[in-house]
Amino acid sequence: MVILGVALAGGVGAVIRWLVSTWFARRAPGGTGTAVVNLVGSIGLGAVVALSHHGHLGPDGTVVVGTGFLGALTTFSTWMVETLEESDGKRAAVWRRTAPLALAGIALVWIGIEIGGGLN
Amino acid sequence: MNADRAAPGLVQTAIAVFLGGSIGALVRYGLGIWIAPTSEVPIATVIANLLGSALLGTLAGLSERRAAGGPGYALLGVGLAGALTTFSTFALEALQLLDRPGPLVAALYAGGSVLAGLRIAAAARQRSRAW
Repeated sequence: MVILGVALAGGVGAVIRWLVSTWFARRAPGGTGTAVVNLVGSIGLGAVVALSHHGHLGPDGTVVVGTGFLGALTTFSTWMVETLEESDGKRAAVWRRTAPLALAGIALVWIGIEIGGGLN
Repeated sequence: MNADRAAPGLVQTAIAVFLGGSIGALVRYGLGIWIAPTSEVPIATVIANLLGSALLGTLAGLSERRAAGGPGYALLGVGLAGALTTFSTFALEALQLLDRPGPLVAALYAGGSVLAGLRIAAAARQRSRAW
């Protein structure tokens, strides 16, 4: 059952990511849609970890939502390839597209954990 | 919204993204179970992220000569490579490493993943351009 849940949740996460990317592609600079799903997914995963820690979310639910849905909603590969394409080999542009997003993701997981009730 | 008036390929694309996303998430979940965390570094996520970056880099090189956005790219690129790799777990693990063992390992994990991901995606794109 968990496997089925991960598969379904992963499919849904990927479709939502695709819809968000498509929406932003016509309205914002390249990479915006990917940054949005990645940051929103990071807050979500932080909250899931905290809710799971407090027993509000069972082990199966944690895997389905955290690994399946939020794992597939967010993406590392698209971030890498878009960075290559948008920075065109310029080192400063690569830094601008990677370091801030990585730090923001880490900070947002922490914020998500606090939203979800912390880990104490 | 009237489904009849939607672009003909849109539903097909959504199904392709869904299927690819399901498979990608399952493979990543399986890697996490199969590769039990034996070391301090969460190696399963690293492997999933680098494999997916290689796949998407390959597709990026191929699609430069062909129109991107077909059902094949939706299945393998947006769906499979997109969902096999993950940013949220990457960020969570970096935060956990920051807590223990500390900032150095966290920086090595995050920086190493990104540098390796960029290198692998670039090399794969370069290689598939010649196909």
